[in-house]
Amino acid sequence: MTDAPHPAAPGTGLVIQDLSVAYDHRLVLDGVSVACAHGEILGLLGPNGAGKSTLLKAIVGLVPRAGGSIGLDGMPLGRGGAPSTRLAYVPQRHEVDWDFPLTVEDVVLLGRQGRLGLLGRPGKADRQAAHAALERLGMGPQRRALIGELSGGQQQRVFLARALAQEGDVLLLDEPLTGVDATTQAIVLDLLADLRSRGLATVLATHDLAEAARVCDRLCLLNGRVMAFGPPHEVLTTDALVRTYGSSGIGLNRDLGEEVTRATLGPALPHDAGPAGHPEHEAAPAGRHPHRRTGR
Amino acid sequence: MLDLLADPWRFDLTRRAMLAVIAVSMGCGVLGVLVVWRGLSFIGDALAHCAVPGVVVGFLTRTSFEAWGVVSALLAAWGMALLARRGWLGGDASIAIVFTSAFALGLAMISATGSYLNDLTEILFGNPLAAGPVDIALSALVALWVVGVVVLLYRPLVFASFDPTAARVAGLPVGLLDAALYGLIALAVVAGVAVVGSVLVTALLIVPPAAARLLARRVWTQMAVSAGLGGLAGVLGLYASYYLRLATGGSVVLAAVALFLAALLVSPRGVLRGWARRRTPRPALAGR
Ligand SMILES: Nc1ncnc2c1ncn2[C@@H]1O[C@H](COP(=O)(O)OP(=O)(O)OP(=O)(O)O)[C@@H](O)[C@H]1O
Ligand SMILES: [Mg+2]
Repeated sequence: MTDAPHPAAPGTGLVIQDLSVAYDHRLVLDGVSVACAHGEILGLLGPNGAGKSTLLKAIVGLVPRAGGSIGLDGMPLGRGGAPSTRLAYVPQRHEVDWDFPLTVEDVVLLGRQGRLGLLGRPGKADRQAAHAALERLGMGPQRRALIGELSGGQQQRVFLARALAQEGDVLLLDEPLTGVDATTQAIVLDLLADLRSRGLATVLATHDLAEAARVCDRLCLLNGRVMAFGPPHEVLTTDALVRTYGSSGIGLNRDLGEEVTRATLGPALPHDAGPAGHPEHEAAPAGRHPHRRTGR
Repeated sequence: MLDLLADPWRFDLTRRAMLAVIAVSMGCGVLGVLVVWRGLSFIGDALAHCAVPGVVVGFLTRTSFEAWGVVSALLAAWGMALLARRGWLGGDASIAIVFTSAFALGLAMISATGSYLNDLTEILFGNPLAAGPVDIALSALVALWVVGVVVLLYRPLVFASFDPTAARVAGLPVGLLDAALYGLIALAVVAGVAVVGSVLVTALLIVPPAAARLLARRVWTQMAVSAGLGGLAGVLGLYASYYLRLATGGSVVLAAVALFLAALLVSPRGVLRGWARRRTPRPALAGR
C-alpha cells in the first residue's frame, strides 16, 4: 500500500482518459485524464474558459469528443455503454423558460423520466424520491409553487433536487455554489458530504478555491489541459496555480494558506462513513495523507 | 329555446360539421398548449401554407388533396424541426424559411399549370359544411390521434419542450420527440384547414391555449381547459354561423376570441381582479 494519490483503480467510478474536445476545430480540452472514484468528490478548478463546463458536458455526451475515453465502472460511456441514467448533471446555466407552467414538484419528477423511459409513468416510488429530494434541499414547502415564482437560488435548488431524484451514482455539478446565499451553500455542502458517504462520485466545477480545498478529496486544475491533479494540498502549489491562472495565480495559495492547511490537517467533511465502511475518524497526524482511504 | 339548440343537429350536414369542428378544435386546443409554450405560435399559419403544394398536387392528379396536404405539411414540419434542432437557425427563422419556400412552390405550381383553382377559397377559408362523411371520420380520427399521442407521451414531450438539454442527458430521444410533436402539429393543422381554412387555423392552435393560460396554472390543466374552450368555441361558432349565416371559420374563431376575452376578465390575474385589488389597501411586504 502506498501513500501516493491513487489513480482510481480501473473499473471503479468515473475514469476519463486522454479526453480531447474541440468546438469548430478549436481544441478546448487536450488530453485530459482525471478520475473520480465512488465516495469521492473531485473539484474542477480553472479560470473562465478553462473548459470545466466543457468537460462535464463531454461526460454526459452533450458535446462530442475529438478523442479519448470516458468510462464508468469499467464500462465505456456513450452509445451501447453504461446507461446514462447513472449520471445526474446540473448545468451552470439553466436555459429554460421560467414561465413554463410547471410546479417545483413537476420539475423534480421529470428527473425520474430517464429511468421511466418514453412510455413510463411515475409511480409511488418516483414520487417518494422526488419528495425526498425536495425535502433534502429544503424546498418541501414550495413544492406546489410554479418554478417561475421562485428566487434564483431556489430555482437552483430545484434543479439540484431534480438531479438528486434521479438517484444516479455519479453527480456532475457545474458551479452549484455560484450566486447562492449562505443557507443554500450550507445545504448543498451538507448534501455533498452526505452523498459522498453514500458512495456517490461527485464532480464539482467551482471558482471557490478555498471551498474546494475544504470539500474535495481531489482537485483538478484545468486550463485546456490538466495542470495538476491530486489531493488539495498537493495541487494548490504556487507553481501549479501560476501555470493554471497565469501571474494572477501567484497570490492565490498564500490567500488560501489557512484553508489549505486546514484541509491538510483534517477535512471539514467526515470521511468515516465511506462506502468501505471504515469506522474510525481520521485525526490525520501531520505527514500522513489525510485523504487516503484504506480498505479499498 | 331547446328547439333552437337542437335545430342544427337535425341535418346530417350540420351534424357532421358540428362533430368535425368540435373534434378538431379540441385536438388543436390540447396540442396548442405545447405549441404556445414552445414559442411556435406562428407554426400553424406556416404549416397551413406548407400544405398548399400538396393540395395542388392533389388537385392536379385528381386524388385526395387532404392526403397530399398532410404529406407536404409533414415534410415541411420535419424540415422546420431539423433546421431548428441542428442549431443552424432559431425556431422562428426555420419556420419562416420553410414556410415561404413551400408556399412559393405552391404558387409556382398553380401558375405553371395555368389552372385556376375554383376551390382556392375553400382552402383559404375552410368549409366544414362541405365535409363529407369520410372527411368527418378523418378529422375525428386525426383529433383523436393527436390527443392520444399527447396523453401517451405527455411527460417526455413536456420534458423535451421545457428542458431539452436535460431530457437529452436523461437519455430521452429528444429528436424523435420533436419530430413527433411537429408531425402532430402538421396533422392538426391540415385537419384544421378543412374546418376554418388556412388563414384562421393558427387561431385554433393559439387562442384557446392563450385563454387557458389565464385560467389554469399547470401544463395538463391548461390542456384540459384549452380543449374545453376549443370545443366550446366550435359549438358556439357553428350556432352563430347557422343562425346568423356567417362564414363558419370566421365565427368559430370569433367565438374563441370571445372566450379569450372572457378569460381575460375573470382570470386570477385578469382585469376584474386587478380592478378589485386596486380598491383594497396594499398588502404589507411578505415576511420571509
Ligand atoms: N458552444 C460553444 N461553441 C464554441 N466554443 C465554445 C462553446 N462553449 C464553450 N466554448 C469555448 O470553450 C472554452 C471552454 O468553455 P467552458 O464553458 O468549458 O469554460 P469554463 O471553464 O466552464 O468557464 P467558466 O468558468 O466561465 O464557466 C471557452 O474558450 C469557450 O469560448
Ligand atoms: Mg463553466
